[in-house]
Amino acid sequence: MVRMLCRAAAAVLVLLGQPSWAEDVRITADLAAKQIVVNGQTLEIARIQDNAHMLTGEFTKTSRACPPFCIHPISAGAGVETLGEIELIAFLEKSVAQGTGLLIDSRVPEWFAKGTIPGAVNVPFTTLEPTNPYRDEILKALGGVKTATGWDFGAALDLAMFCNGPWCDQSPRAIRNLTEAGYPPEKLRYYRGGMQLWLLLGLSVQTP
Amino acid sequence: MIRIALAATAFLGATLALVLLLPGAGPKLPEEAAVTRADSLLSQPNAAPARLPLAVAPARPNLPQPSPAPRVAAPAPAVLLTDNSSLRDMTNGVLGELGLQPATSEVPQMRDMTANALANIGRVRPSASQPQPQPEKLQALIAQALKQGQSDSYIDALLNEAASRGEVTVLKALVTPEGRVDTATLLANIVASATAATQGKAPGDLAKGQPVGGKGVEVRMVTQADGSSVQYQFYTVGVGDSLGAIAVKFYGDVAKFNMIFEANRTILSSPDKIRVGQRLVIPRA
Repeated sequence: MVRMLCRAAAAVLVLLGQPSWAEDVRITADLAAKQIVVNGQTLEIARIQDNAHMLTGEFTKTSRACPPFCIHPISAGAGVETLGEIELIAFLEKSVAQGTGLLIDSRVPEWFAKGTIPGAVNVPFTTLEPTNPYRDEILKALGGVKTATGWDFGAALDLAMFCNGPWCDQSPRAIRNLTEAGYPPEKLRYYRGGMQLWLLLGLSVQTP
Repeated sequence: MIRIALAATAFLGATLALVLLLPGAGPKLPEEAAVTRADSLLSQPNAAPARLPLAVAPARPNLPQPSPAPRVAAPAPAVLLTDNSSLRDMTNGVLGELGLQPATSEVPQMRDMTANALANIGRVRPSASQPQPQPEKLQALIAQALKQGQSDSYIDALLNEAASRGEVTVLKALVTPEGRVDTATLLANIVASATAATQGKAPGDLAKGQPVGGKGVEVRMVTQADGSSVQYQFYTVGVGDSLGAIAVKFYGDVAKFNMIFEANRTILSSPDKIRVGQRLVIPRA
């Protein structure tokens, strides 16, 4: 009888205590969620609070054909820093929110439209290919200045690039094309986990 | 080992058969018989599951556990199918983006993609953004002014102000040597297109094939080695001209500016970089 009462009490507590239980899944022990203001818009990064939540669909696949979906090394190039989720959130806060950096989703617009990391802007990797006759416009928008001899990226933005995950070539490719165009590697960052890990950790997704 | 594998196949088939067929339909067979049957399965593996007798199931306890596992782990055909189709879509999409498509569709596509990417950057960083190619905004601006019955000079001022603030961009061919928007040509083209749309007549019909005269135009007959002569047309850029205006002048169609641009690539770096006094070759339409 006492047991039953205890169980009932526990059940009631569970039901009543939803808000306090909702803090269960934190980003780190010290950080439940992060609010970042980018260009007047408040972004919230938190995690899905349902402990039983599982991914479904595209990002549960294990065996995409390689090539083209091959596993990428940690580094996307000499001097290019590789980020994890915590570093990415810090980048949003320290660089994107301050207007000195840009989080770039390198995927094609169809994928971007399905959901992206809050604060990311879509610059498809194809637009950074040297074959794009309009690429200079993008390099200029990123802060590059065309000089008589080439490009001056001294005042260019810090960029963090990502795509679908460690098996996705699009952001490493974009990084390669940028460095080949003269973009300083120390201004580039690679979030290798991409959407795959972001989603796996139940982090907030923004649908443009 | 082959025996084990065969037995594993047989077991799998039997499990399937158990699910598919009515229970108790088949006679009980000794274990050896099951293996013999499994042997025959090799030749026609596809037909195996349905034809396998139910009673093969007793073979199960004799099977080493690890053996069936890899087979069970194989994905069901239905999953493979969706996988393939979405991969194909993805691959086609990527190939398309990489320009492995007719060149005619690639450039406008890249232009749109670039314009969208620029707009995306601009949304986050309005201060750092360059003028955004937003043809739809330009169109809206003109359409609104036209609906209001504004004068050409008003529209000219409006467009130039918007363009100088980077709110709209105009076709490079419509930039004059003074760096202004060639509103007259822009409006003339809209009117010509509207006329063509309503009367089914191409805007360039009148101008085509007719000798173009006037200020800045120069026609030269050049006699070639074989005695035949070729007519060359030249045009000297004047104040207020744009490549688009010159295209209208010679071809009756602003969209043909590219023909002139291509023919003069040696002296023009970009369609909006024409200078007063430049002598342009005008190719035959």
